[in-house]
Amino acid sequence: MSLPQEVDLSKLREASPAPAVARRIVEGAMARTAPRRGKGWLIAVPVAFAAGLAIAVVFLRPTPRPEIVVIAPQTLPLPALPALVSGQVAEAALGPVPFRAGKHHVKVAAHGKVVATKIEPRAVRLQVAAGAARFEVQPLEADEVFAVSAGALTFEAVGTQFEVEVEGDCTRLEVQEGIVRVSRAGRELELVTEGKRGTFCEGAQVPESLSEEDRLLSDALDKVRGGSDADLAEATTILRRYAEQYPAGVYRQEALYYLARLSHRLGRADEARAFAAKFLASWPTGRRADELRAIAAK
Amino acid sequence: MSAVLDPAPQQPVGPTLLARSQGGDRVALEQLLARNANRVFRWAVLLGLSAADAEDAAQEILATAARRIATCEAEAALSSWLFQITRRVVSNVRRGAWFRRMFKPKTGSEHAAAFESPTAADAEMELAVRRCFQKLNPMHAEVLLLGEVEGYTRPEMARMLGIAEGTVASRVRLAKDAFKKRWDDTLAEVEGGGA
Repeated sequence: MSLPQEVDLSKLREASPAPAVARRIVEGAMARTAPRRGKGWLIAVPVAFAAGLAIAVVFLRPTPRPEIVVIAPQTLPLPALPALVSGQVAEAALGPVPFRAGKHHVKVAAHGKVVATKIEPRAVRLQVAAGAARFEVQPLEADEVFAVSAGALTFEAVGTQFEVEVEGDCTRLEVQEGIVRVSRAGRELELVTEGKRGTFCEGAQVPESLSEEDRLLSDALDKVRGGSDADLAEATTILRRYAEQYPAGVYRQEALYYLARLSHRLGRADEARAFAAKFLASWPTGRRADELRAIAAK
Repeated sequence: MSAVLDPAPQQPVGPTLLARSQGGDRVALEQLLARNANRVFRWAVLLGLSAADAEDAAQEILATAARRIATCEAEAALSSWLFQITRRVVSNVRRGAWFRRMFKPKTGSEHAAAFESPTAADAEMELAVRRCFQKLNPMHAEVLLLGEVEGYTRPEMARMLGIAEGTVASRVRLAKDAFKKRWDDTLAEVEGGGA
């Protein structure tokens, strides 16, 4: 879709107000920032406080809205982020607003809205009610859950960064790191891996079930989540089978990462180092690479 | 992703000017504001404000920028930083404009030309474009403003809006679609003698 042929918006790039208007704008701005003297604040502060109190009483809402803080781009790191609690709504009207959901980070994009359905030490469930949000999921322990829903879809993460955007009847998912399992009404639809994106629309045709390759990885991740030594050993077996069957599979990175971590956890240091080395040979940078380097050094 | 956020500003700002402004030099600060006045005014207009509201908003944007000039760490980030302030101020003014409309009759000034136009045809085109922008979802107006008017690349827009490049792309597509519909409606209104 392009703009109407007769409309060339780039012509407005030089559009400017009349010189007198531009001058008034600058003079007004300068006047408003002029150093002040005197004790006007002695009156202004109580008046502002009273006005603020009155406004708060009239417009107080049950769901607190975050203050929009203007920060200069590239001036991160951010200070301690506001933490979401169960039932709270994180909404960004004008610019992206970062939050903490448990140990994870959520960045709600401008005009986006995220509902914290459940924030508990071992389970975080969020819902993207409008717009877009980006999620940075910290490494999860075996029994931890981080899930995001949008409409009837659920996106479940295992140590990853991803973004969900709701637009009309469609939900778009983009995975920056790791893997996200997509399900609808409890049925798994797809595994979306690093660098991939998927758009899921109401009423659209979706695969009936996961492919064999998807299934192997999904089963392995379920076992990882199980958490017992037996589960982890089983996960290792499944991942080894995956690596053998699909040496150039789409989840190779995921498989090697978990094989290294699981081997380390199960006390198989040599195996952990070998898997870490394979991983690092192909993906030498990033959070996971750092993690595996630390494991290999132990 | 490109780190350059201000590839070809209308009037480039030297680092010395920014640094001097941050050092408390009010002459430098005034020059800095003057160099950006046209741009923030244009943004305010295309984000849906009338000429009069845009003038107030531009003043507020520059006053805010002046107060917080110390937080703008890089010259390359100046445009993006100003745009963040613009979005917030424009949104506030828009809310205020709605409130004022409740109590004030329309004067017709809300449809006055905002930009200096060399010809009557340019002025008409400006008004038609603005009318379309005013009817757009703010998210769509923003991407058209940054991409089509100001010429920022998608990575730069993604940085400025705090969204992924893929989101920018889909938003641009939807924005163009919406703009075309509004444009057709506007032409139909004009041809039908509507407001």
